[in-house]
Amino acid sequence: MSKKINLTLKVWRQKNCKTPGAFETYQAREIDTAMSFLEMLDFVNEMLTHEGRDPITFDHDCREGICGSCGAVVNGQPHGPLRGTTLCQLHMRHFKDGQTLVVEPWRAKAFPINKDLSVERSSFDRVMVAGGFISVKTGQAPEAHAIPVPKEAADNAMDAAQCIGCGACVAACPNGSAMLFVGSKVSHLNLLAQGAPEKKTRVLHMVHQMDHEGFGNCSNSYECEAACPKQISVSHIAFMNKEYRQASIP
Amino acid sequence: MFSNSSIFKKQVVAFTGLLLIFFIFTHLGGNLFIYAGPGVFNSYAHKLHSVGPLLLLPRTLLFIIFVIHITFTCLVVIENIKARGGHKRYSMQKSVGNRSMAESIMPYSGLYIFVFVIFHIIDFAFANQHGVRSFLHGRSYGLYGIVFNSFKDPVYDLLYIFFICFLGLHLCHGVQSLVQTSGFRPKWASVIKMISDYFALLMILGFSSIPIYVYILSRP
Repeated sequence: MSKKINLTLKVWRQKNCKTPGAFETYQAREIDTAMSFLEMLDFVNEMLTHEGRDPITFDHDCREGICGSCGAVVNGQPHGPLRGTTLCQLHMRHFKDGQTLVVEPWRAKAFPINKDLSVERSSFDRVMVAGGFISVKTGQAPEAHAIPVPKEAADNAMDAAQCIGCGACVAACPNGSAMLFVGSKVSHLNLLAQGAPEKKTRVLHMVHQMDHEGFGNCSNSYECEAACPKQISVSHIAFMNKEYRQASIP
Repeated sequence: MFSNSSIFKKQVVAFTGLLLIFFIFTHLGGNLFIYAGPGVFNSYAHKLHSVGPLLLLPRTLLFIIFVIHITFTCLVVIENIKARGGHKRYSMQKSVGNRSMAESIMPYSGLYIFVFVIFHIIDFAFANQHGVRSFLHGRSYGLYGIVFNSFKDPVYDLLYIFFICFLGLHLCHGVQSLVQTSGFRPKWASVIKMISDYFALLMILGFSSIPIYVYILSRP
């Protein structure tokens, strides 16, 4: 059974990355607890629009927890207080009536703010362009069983492939490091036979691009693992470290 | 590409850290000779110094390892500060659950260790082994006497134990970190964490036991 709650929202408002931002406080009244967090923001935006004010800008797309578009830091936690959940799948029943919610964008040098809660994550795309792919001949799809893949490798690669590139790892990391993202992409492809021919150049190029984008260094605090909506393990960072070490030795 | 990369820098810190851990372990082994009395302790110190110029090589190596460890850590920390995107990053910062206190104070514990190590070298390694500080009951006891006279002072003991606790915290995160950074994360990663914690505790107990022992022994 859903019920209605009243909330106080302290939302980060910023015109663009060049102008300084500040918090603005809004009263979100009669919020249905069946709403998702983004639906709650939609509701507040309708109110703001009716009042002739600028609605809050936030990233979103599928609203099913699989696209990696949404994300904000809610009360100091990326994607909010619920583990293993994206912001779009966080429902208002997890909050209490009368609660104050502080909503901020991901903060990292490599994620400049577009507007309000929307951040520019094209640095992730450039890391992917650097090596997050496999080169294959075009044509008909190959026979699925032509290349045998060990069960353990397939499982690990599948776990790593769950990364939706939302950037919560960077937002949670005290150093703004993207190593969980890059580690999972490297694991996903390097563990499989299809990714093996380019595995050395892949890890070298992706790490190089990651550094070039201005992401920080992992200090093994493992906040990323805890914040990841797909609960990707930091063992993928260790795997990337190993792959990098091996690829660096000629 | 390789030498400037974040992972390379971290792996250098991890490898030099491993070498420093070996040194700390052997250093504790040497220190524990104090329990065997002044004769054994001084003969150990004397044997170490009697190799003369040969001692210069490991000392220089140790110095280089120490400098590399600190330099690369500083590079990593500076990059991390830049990458964060602002000094006060979030108005409400909440640990999601995995961050340990030892990890969050790594640069500070490292800085304190650095300052104390310099003081420690000047205080013990470069001390005049037959000077005033080596005298006990009107007779010179060499390095044993210097250690004994230093650890008689409870303030000195507290500072030393405080330093050892910081070293322990540094090790407790450092040992498990170097395994991860080197690229080894076995399925039994929790065991590595446990080994790391117990190793740090062992070092704290081992090093701290000496000032406590001397202090108790020096009481009338």
